[in-house]
Amino acid sequence: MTGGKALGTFRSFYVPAMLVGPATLIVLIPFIASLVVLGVYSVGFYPGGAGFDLGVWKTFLSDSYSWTVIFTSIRLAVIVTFFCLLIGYPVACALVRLDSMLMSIIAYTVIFSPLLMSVVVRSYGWLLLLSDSGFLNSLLGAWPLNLGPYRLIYNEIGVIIALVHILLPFAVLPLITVLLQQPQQLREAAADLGASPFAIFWKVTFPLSLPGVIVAAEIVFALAVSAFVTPAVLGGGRVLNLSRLVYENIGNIEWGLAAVQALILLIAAVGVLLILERFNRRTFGEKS
Amino acid sequence: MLLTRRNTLKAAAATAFTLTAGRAMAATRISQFIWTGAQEPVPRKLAEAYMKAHPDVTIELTAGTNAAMYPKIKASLDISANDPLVNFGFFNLDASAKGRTANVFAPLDKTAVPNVENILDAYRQPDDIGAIFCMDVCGLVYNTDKIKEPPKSWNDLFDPKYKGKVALFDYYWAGNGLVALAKLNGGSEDNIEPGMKIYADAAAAGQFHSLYTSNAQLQQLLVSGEVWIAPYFRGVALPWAAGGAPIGYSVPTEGQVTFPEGFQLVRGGSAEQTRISQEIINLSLAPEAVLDYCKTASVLPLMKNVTLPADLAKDPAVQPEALKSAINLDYAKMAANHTAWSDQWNKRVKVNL
Repeated sequence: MTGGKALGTFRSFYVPAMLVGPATLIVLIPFIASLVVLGVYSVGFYPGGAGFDLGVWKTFLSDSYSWTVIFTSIRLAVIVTFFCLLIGYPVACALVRLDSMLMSIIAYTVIFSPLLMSVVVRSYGWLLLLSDSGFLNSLLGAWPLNLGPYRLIYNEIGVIIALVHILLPFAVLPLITVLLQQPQQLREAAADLGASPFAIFWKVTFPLSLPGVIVAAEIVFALAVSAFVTPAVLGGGRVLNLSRLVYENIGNIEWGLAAVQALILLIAAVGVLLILERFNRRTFGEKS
Repeated sequence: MLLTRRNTLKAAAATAFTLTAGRAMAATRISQFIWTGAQEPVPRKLAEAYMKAHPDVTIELTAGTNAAMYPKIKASLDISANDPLVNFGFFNLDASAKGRTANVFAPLDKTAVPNVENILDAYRQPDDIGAIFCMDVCGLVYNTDKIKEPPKSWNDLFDPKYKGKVALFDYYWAGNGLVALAKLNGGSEDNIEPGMKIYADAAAAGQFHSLYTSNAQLQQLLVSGEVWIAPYFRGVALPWAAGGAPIGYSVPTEGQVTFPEGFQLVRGGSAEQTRISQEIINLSLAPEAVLDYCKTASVLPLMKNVTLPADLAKDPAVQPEALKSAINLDYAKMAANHTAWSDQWNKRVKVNL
């Protein structure tokens, strides 16, 4: 019996611990260590710092420019998340319904190939495509449209377009997962009861996929709010975001201010994610 | 020899010792920081030649910008005072001033770097912290297809005919004309307001197309014709022009901004790393190496024993009168004021773009 109990403990505790242990160590320890370092730096404890001082927090939070940057960062991330979901949802629906293996391979390659390329390269690629003399403006300016050129870079438009392209795969993946989990019989039953294709989508497919939508939104928002390279390359100084401020203050060896801004960025991201997660659990937690 | 367990263990131990000793002998690793673009080939060439002559030395070259690299070096020394991220590298006077204040750089030993004696007296650094051996100049860079008559004045940046066609380097006071404009309008490194006001008003009036953060961005903006004119460095623009880009460099009549550059030895390296770093710096200060660097990167030598060849010396930007009227900046004060200026820049220029 003792042997059986020991084996039970081994299976119920040690095996899961060994399975998740390495990943936990890799993810949690650097994260917690970074948070501790940022926390102590933000209150003045860093090489050359003056010791405990909340002055940097007070200065940053009482500055209207700081709030402009915080709200711009969040607004930009919300817009990018919205467009990723808007574009990603139909893409995910189409991908899960593809019957042809060849078409599936082609479609998945097209959707996920951006992940194989550096974000710097992709951002510079968009710079060339969206510039005044770039591909898109040339197309719009050609006969019979004769439109433009429109300023599509060095403003929020260019940053949003590029970020939606870069982050789209992160929206599509969780959507595909949740759509694949839906039993086909539910849609068949709805159809048998006389529901139109739109009614099937609106009353069956979409509500059941909402947990995936929320997960996709969480991932895209977290990545968009902390994006650095794309706003730096395509923003032209016009797109004020917190990541850029953190980078500038690291460059200025303003460790305390950079730490405060990094923590604010984290708090903003975690705050929005918690709201989404709470909504997810309240709405769908009891049903699952 | 019989293949016994004892002999096998002996052979294994001998092999391990040989490999360990061999690796230890070849273990002197030097990390050198270099700039990108036209400033890159000569240091690479010198490092390869040094490694060929000294197989026991490995030189790892890291290319980047002072803005990105200096904070990393400072952070590495804060973490471990005896393990700097790089042993030596190429720095402008802005980063040199910051490093001097923060005790990041070490003085060069004149006996190890005798070529430092050939640096022009005006550019010899106090206590030999750094070997500032060459200089770039900042003036007006423009698209030659769009602007047929070369711009003549810093004030051309604010000419209404270039509205929306002017770009500036973000936060780069020596390279975006802020301090030069301040000085030309009654200000100084102690009083940036006259320059800041001009830039803030111009931003609000829509004069600026964008703020860029890399040389590549400026090149793309100028070549595409989206931007026609920008304040920037001769040493960056001329290689682009030589490569066929429709880009020109013009000397403002009020004077170009001088931008001295050179080597700094970073504190904290081992005695051997310090010795080798200084040896490479000394080789890099040899007349032929300096001349090679100046030709490749389109910069001016600041050495007593180096003169530009006749074809390069004809350039208007390097004529004695052009250099005599140049605007010299106090980089130490600029470094000290950087954070305050950045704050003003954010709130008065960037938000108004």
